[in-house]
Amino acid sequence: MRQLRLMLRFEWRWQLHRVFPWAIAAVLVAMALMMIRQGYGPDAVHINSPYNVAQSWGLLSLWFLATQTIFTVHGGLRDDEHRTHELLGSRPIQPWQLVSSRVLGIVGSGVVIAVVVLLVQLLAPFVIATDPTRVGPLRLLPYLWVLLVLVLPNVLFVSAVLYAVAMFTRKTMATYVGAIAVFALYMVVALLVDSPLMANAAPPAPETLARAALLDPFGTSAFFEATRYWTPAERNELLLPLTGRFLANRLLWCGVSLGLLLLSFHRSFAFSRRGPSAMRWFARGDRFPHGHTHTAHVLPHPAPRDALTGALSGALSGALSVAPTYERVAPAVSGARVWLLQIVRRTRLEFRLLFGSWIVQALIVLFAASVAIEAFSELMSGEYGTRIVATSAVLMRKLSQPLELISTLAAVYFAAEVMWRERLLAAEGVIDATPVSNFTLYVGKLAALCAIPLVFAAAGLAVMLAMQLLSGSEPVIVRAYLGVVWFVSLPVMLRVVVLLGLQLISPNRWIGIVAGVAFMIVTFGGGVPGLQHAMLQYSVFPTPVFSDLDGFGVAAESFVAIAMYWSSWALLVAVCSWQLWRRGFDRGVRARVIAAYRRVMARRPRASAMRGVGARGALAFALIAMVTSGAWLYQRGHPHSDWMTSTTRTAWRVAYERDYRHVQSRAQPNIVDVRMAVDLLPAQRLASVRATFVLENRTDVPIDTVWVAPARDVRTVVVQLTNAKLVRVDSAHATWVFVMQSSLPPGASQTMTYNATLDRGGVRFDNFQQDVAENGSFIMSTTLIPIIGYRASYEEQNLQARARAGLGAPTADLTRDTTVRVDSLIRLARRGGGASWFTLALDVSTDVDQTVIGPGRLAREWIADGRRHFAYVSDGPTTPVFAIASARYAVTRATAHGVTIEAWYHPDHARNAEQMIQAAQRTVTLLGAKLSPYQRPVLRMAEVPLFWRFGAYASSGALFFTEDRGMLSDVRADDIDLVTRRVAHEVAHQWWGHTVMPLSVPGSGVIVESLAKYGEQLVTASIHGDAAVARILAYDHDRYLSGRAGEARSEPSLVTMTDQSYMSYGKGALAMAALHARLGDSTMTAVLQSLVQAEGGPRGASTASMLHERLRAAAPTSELRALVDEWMLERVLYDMRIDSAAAMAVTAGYRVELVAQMHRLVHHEGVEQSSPADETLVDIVVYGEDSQVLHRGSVRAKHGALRWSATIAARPAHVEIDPDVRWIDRERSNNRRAVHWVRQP
Amino acid sequence: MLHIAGVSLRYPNGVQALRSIDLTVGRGLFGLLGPNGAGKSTLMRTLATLQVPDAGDVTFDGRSIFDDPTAHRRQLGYLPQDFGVYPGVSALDLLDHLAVLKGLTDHASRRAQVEALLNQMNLWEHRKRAVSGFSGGMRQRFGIAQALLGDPKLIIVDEPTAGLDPAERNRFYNLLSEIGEDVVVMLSTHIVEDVRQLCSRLAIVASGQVVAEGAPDALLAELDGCVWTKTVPKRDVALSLSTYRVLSTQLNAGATRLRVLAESAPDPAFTAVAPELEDVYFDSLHRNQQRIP
Repeated sequence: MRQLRLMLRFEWRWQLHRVFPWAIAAVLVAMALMMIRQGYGPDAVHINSPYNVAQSWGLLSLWFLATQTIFTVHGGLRDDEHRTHELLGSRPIQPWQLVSSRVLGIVGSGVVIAVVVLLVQLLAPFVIATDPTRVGPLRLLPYLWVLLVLVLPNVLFVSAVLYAVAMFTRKTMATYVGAIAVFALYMVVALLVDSPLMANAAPPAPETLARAALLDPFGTSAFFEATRYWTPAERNELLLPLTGRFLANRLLWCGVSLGLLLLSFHRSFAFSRRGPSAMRWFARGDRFPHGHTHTAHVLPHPAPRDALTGALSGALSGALSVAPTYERVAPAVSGARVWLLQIVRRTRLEFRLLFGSWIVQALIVLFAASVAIEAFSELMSGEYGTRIVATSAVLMRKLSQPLELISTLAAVYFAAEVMWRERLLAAEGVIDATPVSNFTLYVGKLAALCAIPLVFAAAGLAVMLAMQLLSGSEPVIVRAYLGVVWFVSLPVMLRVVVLLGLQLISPNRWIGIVAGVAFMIVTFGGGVPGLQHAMLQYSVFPTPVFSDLDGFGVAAESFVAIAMYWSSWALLVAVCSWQLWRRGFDRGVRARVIAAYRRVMARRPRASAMRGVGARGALAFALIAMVTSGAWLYQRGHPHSDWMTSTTRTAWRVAYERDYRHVQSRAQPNIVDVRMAVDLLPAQRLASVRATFVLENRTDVPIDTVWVAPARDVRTVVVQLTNAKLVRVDSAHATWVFVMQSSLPPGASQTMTYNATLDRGGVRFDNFQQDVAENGSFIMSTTLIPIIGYRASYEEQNLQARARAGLGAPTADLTRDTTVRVDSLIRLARRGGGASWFTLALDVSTDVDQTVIGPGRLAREWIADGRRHFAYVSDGPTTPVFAIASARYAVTRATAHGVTIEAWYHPDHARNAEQMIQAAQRTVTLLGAKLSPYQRPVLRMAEVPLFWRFGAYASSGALFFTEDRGMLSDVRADDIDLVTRRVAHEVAHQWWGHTVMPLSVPGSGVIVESLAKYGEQLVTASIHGDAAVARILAYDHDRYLSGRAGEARSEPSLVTMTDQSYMSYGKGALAMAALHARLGDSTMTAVLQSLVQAEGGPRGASTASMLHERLRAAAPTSELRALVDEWMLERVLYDMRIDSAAAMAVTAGYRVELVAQMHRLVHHEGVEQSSPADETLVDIVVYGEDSQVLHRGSVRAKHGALRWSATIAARPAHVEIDPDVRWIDRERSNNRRAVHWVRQP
Repeated sequence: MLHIAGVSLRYPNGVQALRSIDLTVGRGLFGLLGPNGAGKSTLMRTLATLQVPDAGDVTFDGRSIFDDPTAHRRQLGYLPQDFGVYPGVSALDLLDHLAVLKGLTDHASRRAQVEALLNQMNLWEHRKRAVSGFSGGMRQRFGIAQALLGDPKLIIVDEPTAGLDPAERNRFYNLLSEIGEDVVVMLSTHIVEDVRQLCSRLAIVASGQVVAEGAPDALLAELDGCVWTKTVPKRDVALSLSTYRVLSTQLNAGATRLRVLAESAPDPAFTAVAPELEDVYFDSLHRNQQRIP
C-alpha cells in the first residue's frame, strides 16, 4: 500500500506540475468569476444558491473534457510517448498498482482542479458580487453536494471514456478525438431536451425529458428535468435529493464508468505483462510485431562485394547499373517561378497534412452529423411541436452559427498543430536549412488553415442540401447557400491570421492555444470592456440572415466594407507574422522582434534585408489600407451609428429622465387624426414620411407645453406645431419642446406637421435596421409617429445605476401598482384620452412591382411617375398602432360574411395560404357570432421576412406573419394545427386589442392575450375537437410552470400581472379553458359579449378586474365563484398523481379501479402551503390499446384522495387523470398510467 | 573556403555552447570530433544558418553567410543529427518536395536527381513508402539523400552514419569523398576511425572550443614516440590513473591495457606504440580539461 501511495503522490506531482491543466483551471475560475460578477441566473435566485452552483457545473463540467484529455494522455500514454515500458516493466511493481495509480492520478488531478474552482465559487460571491441582495448565506453543503454528486461522477466518466480510448488505441490523437466524441454525444443529448445550456431548443415533451435525463452523461438534463419548475425560493434553499431519474442517471453513468475502467484495466494489465508491441490491438498470437517485420525486410542485403576495396563508381553503380546516377542540379536563383512553384507545393503539402489527418476528417464527419441533427431539430422546432418546411433559408439559418463556432474552435486547435508541426516532428532542421522563404512557409500554413471554414462549410452545405432535397420540392437557392459560406468563412479566416500570429509569439503551442481561446472568448463575448465599439472588435461582423423575401438584407451591403477594413488589419498581422517567423533555433520572440525591426527598418539593407524591403512595402500598404478603409467606414457608418459606451449610455438615460420625468405628470394632447404620406424607396432602403397630425386636449386642464419625441433612429426630422413656439430641440434625446402661444383648453385641438426620413441603407458598422427592405419592408407606427410626452422606455432600468444617479423607482415599477390610478385612468379613457384612438388616412408609394399592405380600407390604388400608390383610410377611429408592409407579393382572396379575406405572400410560399384563409374565415365567423361582427370590410394577412423575431403581429385589420412562423409551417395531420391556431389567435386580436383595448394597468395582458388564446381555443375546437385544444394546453401549462420558475419578483395573479408572458399566454389560456369547461360555453360567451359591448371602441376602459367581476357575477354557484376567484386572483397549484390503476375482467366487461392523490398548493407572499384537496372535481379518461378513449368520468377529491371505479365494455390499457388540463399540476408525467391486471377477488 | 572567425554563442538558458571558434576549412572532407555536448551540433547548426552567433562571423567563399542566409542555403546540404519527417508522405514525394524548396524548378532535372539519389541510397524500392515508417537506417539514408539535393557547395553532415550498418556506412563515405573533392564537406562524428580514413583535416572540439586542429598525420606526428602501453591487473588501475597520464584504458582478457602519454617510458614494463588518432583525441580532451578550472 505504501508503494501505491508513493506512486500516487508521484502521479499527482507529475500531472499537476504542468501548465496546461492550470491554464484550464484559470479559464474555469475566470468563467466562475464572470458568472458571479454578472449575476448568473434569474434576479430572484441567489448567485450562490444550491441550484445556481449545481447548474453552473452543467457548463463547467464540459471543460473536464480538456483537462482529462491532457491528464489521460500524460498518465495513460506517457510510457508510449517516453518509451519507458521496459524501464517500468523491469521494476518490482504489480500491474494493478501501476494502473490504479495512473487512473487515480488522472481522476484525482481533475478533482483537485474542480475543488479549486468550487472554492472560488464558494468565496467569490462575498468579494466580487455587484448586487449584495443576490448573495445568499455561506453554506458548505451545496458545494460538497456538487462535488460528490456532479463533479466526481462526471470527472470519473470523462476519465473512464478517455482512458479506455487511450488504452485500446494507444494513440494520443485518438484520445483527443474521444474527447470530441464525448462532447458531440453531449450536444446530441442536449438537443433532445430543452437543456438550459442550449438556447432556443424546442419545448420538451415529458417523455423526451425523461429519456434525455437518463442519457445525459453529465447529469445536467436529469438535474434540469427534476428542477425545471422550481420557484426561486426553492432554488435558493433546496438541494436536489438523490432520487428518481436523477439517481438513476448518476448510478447508470457511474456504472458505465466503472465498466469502462475495468475493461481498460484488463487492457493495461495485458500491456504490463506483454509489453508495448503486444498491446497493439490488431496484434495476434505469434505474428511478429509490425515494426520488426518491416525492419527486417527493408535492411539492405550486404553489398555484393567488399565495399571498402570496391572502387567508388562500383559502389555507386555496380548493383544499379541501369539506375540513373547522381548529378548535381544547380538550384534556380530566386524569381517569380521559384516563388510560385514553392508556394504551390508548400500549400499543397500543408493541405494534404491537415486535411489528410484522420482527426480533421473525424471532426468534419462529426460536424456534418451535428449539423444534420441541428437542421433536423430546426425543421421540427416550430412552436407546439410542429414542423417547418425545409427551404434553403430555414436550413441555412441553422448552419452559420455552428459553422462559425466549430470552424473557429478547430482553427484555434489546428493553428497550434500546423504552426508547430515541423518542431513537433523535429523536421525543422531540414526544412529551415533550405532556401525557401519564410513567406512561402507562412503562406502555405495560412492557406491550409483558411481552408478550414470552407471545408467545414462544404460538409455542412452537402448535409443541408441533402436534407432539403430529401424533404421536399422547395427550390434550392444557391445564393443562400453560398452566401452563408462567404459571410461565415471570411470572419473565421481573419481569425486564423490572428491565431497563427498568437502561435508565433507564444513560447509553446499550449500557451498559444490558451491565448487563442482567450481571443475567441473576447471575440464571441462582445469585446474587451471599454473597447466595444464595432470598429474595435476584430473580425466581428454583422451576420446577415437569408430570407426568401429580402435576401441577405441590409447587413450584406456593409459586409464588404467591413471585410475590407478587417482584412487590412489581418494583412498587418500577417506581415508581422511573416517577419516574426521562427526559423532554425528560436531565441524567443523578443530576439525575433528586434531582428525583424532591424530588417524592416534598415536604411541601407544588407543583402539579407532585401526581404525587409518587401515587408516594409506590405506593412506600409496594410497600414494605409487600414487607415483609409477605417476612415471611410467610419465616415460612412458613423452618421447611422447610435453607439455609446455603457457608461455614456447610462448617463444619457439618466439625463433624459432628469430632464423629462416631470412631463409624465403634465397634461399632454392626444393625436386624434393622422394624415400621412410614406414614400418607400426599397432599393435604397429609404423611406420619407410627411404627416399632419391633429392634436386634441382630451384632459380636463389647459395645456401650455407640448413635448414631441420622434423615434431616435429617424433622420431629417422637422416638426411644426401651429400656434406654438419651438423652444428647444434636444437632438441628443430626440425631443422637441413647444410652448403654446396661448394655452390649449380642454377639447381644443391644434395641427402638427411632421417630416422625417428613415435611412436604413448604405454602409454602416452597426445599428442595422431592417424595417425598410429591398423586398419585404415592415414599418410599425411607433417608428412613423412621434410620441407626445415622455418616453419611459428611455429610463435606466438597472437599479444600482439609478441609485448612484439618485433616481427613484422607474416608471415600470410604478405601473405595477396602480390601484389608486385606475379610476382616474378610466375617467380619462371615457373622454377619449390616454392611449387615444385616431382616424387615419395613409398614402404609401412604393416600387411599381410591390404591393403595400396597410391598415383599414384600401380607398384607392394607382400608378404615377412609375411608382405604385396605395391610399388606406380608416372608417372611424382605430387603435393607435398599425404597420405597413411592402413586397412583391402573390395574393389569395376569399370572403366570409361580407368580409374580404386576403393572404399576401412570397410567390414561392403559397402552400399554407389556403389554410390561413380558411382559419381566418372560421374565426371571423365564429367570433363574429359570439362577440360582435367583425368591424372592417377587409382582413389582410401578409408575410414579412423571417428575421423579425415575433410570432405574428396583429394591427387593426392587417395581420403580419414572419416567413417561418406561418407561411412555412409544415402542417401535418398528426401535429397541432399551428397555422389555424396562429391565424385564429391573431384574428381574435381584432376583438381583443383592437376592439376592446384595455387600460394600461396590471392585468391588461389577460384581456389582450389570454382572451385571444381563448378565441384560438374556440376555433381549434370547432375544427379539430376538444382533444386538439388539450394538446395545445399542455404546452401552455409548461410555459406557465417554466415561466414562474424564472420569475424575478413574487408571482402575480392574473389580475395583477404586468409583462409576464407566462401569465398571459400560459396561465391565462389555462384559466379560460378551465372556466369555459366549468361555466359552459353560453355563460362565457355572454360574459365576453357583454365586455365587448360595454368596453369596445375608442372610449372603452377595460381591466382584468372587470373581466373577473363579470365572470364571477355570471357564475351560478358558490363553488364556481370560488373557481373564478382561484384562477383570477390566487396562485394555486395542485400535485396529483396516480397511485394505482387496477383492471379486472368482470361479466359485464372490465372493471377499472383508480386510486390517486391530489394536494392543493396555495402560494401566498412567497410561501407555499400544501393541503389535501377536497371536493375538487377531476376528470378521468380510460384509454384502450391504441390510445382511443374508451370512457370518460370524473370524481371529486376527498381529503386528498381520488378513488374512482367504473365498468366499461372494452379492454382498458391506460388511465389518465385531468387529461384536459383543467388544473395546474406541478408534475403531469405521473397523471397517466398503464392499468395492472388483477384477478377478481 | 569556409572561414569561421571568433564565433561564440550562448543559449538563452546560460549555456555557453561556442567560445570564440576559429576554423578555416577548404575543399574536401573536414572532420569534427568531440564528446557529447562539446558544441559540434551547435556549430553545425550555425553553419547551416539555423542560428546566429552572438559574436564572430562565418564566411563562405568570401561572403558572410548571415548577410544573405537564403543565398547561403541555396548552396548548402545539411543533415541534422536527429530529424523527423512529415507523416504519411512517401520518400519520392518528400524528396521531390524538398528539392522544390531547394529551388530545383526544372521538373525533368529535379526528377532525375531525386530518382538518382533514391537509387544510390538504396531507397528506390521503398520510394512509395512513407518515410515516417522507415527504420532508423533507411531514414538516415533518406536524410543523406536530401542533403545532397541540388548542387551543394557546403555539405554539413552531423553524425551521418548513426544507425547505418557497416556496408551502408562505407557506401555513404565513398559517395561523400567523391563529392568532397570539389566542395567543402564538414562531418561531425564521434567515431575517430572514420575521420582518420576520410578526412584530410580535422578539428577536435571540447566545451565549445577547438582544442586541436590539423591534418590527421600532423597531429599524429606530434605524439610520435610519446605513447606507451602496459597491461595491468584490474586492481591496479586506480593507482595507475593517478600515477600516469593515461590516455585510455581498454579491457583485454580480464586485465586492463593502459595507453599512457609520456616523453619516455614511465617504467620498464611499458612498451612504445605508434600513436593513433584516438590518442590525439584523448590527449586534446585531457589538456582541455586541465585548462578549464
